[in-house]
Amino acid sequence: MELPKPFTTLYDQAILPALTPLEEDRKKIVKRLQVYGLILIPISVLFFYFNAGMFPLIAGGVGLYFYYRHHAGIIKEKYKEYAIKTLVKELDPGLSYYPASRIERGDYDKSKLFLKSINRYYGDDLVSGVIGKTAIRFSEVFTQMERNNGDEKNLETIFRGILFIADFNKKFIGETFVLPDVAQNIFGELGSFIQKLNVSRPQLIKLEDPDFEKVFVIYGTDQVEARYILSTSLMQRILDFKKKTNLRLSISFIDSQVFIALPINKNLFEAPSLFQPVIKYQPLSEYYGYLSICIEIVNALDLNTRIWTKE
Amino acid sequence: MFYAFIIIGILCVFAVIVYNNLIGARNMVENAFGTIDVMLKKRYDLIPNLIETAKSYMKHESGTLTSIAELRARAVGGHVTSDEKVQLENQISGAMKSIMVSVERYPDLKANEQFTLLQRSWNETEEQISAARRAYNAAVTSYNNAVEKFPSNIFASMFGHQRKQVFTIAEAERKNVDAKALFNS
Repeated sequence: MELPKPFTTLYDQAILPALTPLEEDRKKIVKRLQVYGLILIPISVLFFYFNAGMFPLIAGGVGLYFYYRHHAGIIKEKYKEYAIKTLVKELDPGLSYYPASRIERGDYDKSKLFLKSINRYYGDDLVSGVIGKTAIRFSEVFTQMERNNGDEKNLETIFRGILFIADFNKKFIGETFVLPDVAQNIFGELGSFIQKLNVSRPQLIKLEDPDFEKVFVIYGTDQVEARYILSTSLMQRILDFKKKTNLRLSISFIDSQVFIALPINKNLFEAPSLFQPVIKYQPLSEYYGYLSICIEIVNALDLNTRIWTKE
Repeated sequence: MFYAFIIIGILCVFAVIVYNNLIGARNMVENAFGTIDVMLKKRYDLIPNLIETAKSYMKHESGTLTSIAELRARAVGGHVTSDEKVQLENQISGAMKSIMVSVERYPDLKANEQFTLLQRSWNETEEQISAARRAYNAAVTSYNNAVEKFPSNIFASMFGHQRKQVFTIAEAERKNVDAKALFNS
C-alpha cells in the first residue's frame, strides 16, 4: 500500500508522544490486575480451607473481569482519540473524526450496493468533512443476515469494510452501478448474457473500454446518463484506483452522490488488546494506509473539478 | 408427428425471439440518435445567450462570435442535409472551443457570473452530447452484431436491415482548433 506522506516521520513526531502516556496508563492497569489476581488466589484458598466455599473466588473473579472491561474500554477510547484522530487530522485538517458514529443504515440502503436483506447493522469510526469542494464521509460498516435453520443460527456476512460517500461533481437523476465482474470473467460472452438476465439491477450497460469491462459490470437506469457519469477519463481513474488499492470495489452513483464500498475483512481503527503495548507501528501504519486511500478518492476520481453546473 | 410439431413450435418461438431482438436493437439505435438531437438542441439554445454575454467583452473575437451565430442559424433553420448538419456541428464545436480558450485573455469576462454559469452549462452539454454519441455507438454496435451474426443475419437480409455507421471523430476535431482558419477556409 502506498502512503501519501512518510508514515515513519508522522509516527515518530505525533503518534509516539501522544501514545506514550497512554502506554504508561495501560501498564499500570495491567500491573494492578496482576496484583489483584495474586491477592485473590491466597484469599480464596484460605476461605476454601475454612469451608467458606467458592464464593470469594467467583465474586473476586467477576470483580476483576469488570475492572478489566472498564479500563480496556477507556484505553480503547483514548487510543482512538489520540492515535486515529491524529492520523485523520494529519491527512486533512478539514476532516472530523467521530469514533462512535457511523454511516447510517439509511445511506447504506440508499447506495443499493448490496441488495441482500440484512438484520444486523454495525459500524463506527466516522470521518467526515470537505476536501476542496467535495463533501465526503466514510466509516466502517459491518452488515450481516441472521437466519434460523431449525435450532441452528446461521450468520451470513453481507458486507464488511469501509463505506465511502461523496458529493459527485455532476448532476444526475438516474442510478448507475459499477460492480465487480464475476460472470464475464469466468464465462466470457455467455457471462455477458447472464449479466443481462440480472433482474435485480437496471439495464446492462456495455461501455467501450475493454479493460474496464473486464473488471466491472455496469448497470444503469439510463444509457446516456451512465456514459455522462462514466466519462472515458473517469473509467480510467476508477481502474487505476482499483489497481492501486487491490480491493474488490463496488460503486454506485445515486442522487448526485457517489457511494463506494471497500471490502476489508477486519475490524479497523481499534486499540490492541489491553495486554499488548498500544504503541505498535504495524496496525497504525495499516490504518493510516486505509484512511489515506479513502481521502485519496477525491483526487483519484477528480471530484474537485467543478466545470459543470453543479458547484 | 407429435415431435415434429414440438420441433416446429420451438423453432417458431426461437425465430420470434431472434426477430424481436433485431427490431429491439434497431429501435435502440433510433432512440439513441434521437437523444443526440435533444442534446444538440440544448446546445443550440445556449449559443445566443453565450454570444450575447461574451460580445461586449471579447472585442477581438467579434468576427468569430458572429460566424457562430450564423452557423447556428443555418443549423436550426432546417433545409440542411444530415451531412451538412454534421459539418455545421463540427464547425460550431471547433469555433466554440477556440472562444472558450480565448476567454482566458479576458479577465472581466471570466469574472462575469452569468458567463461562468453559461460556460458550465456549455461544458455539461458537451459532455452530454459525447455521452449520447457513445450510447449511440454502443446501440449501433449491438445492432450491427445482430445484423451480421448468425442466425439473426438471416432475418436481417430477409427484411433489408443493413449495417449502420458509428460516429467517428472528424479529422477537424482531432487537430488543435484554429477558429480563424476554420472560417477562412
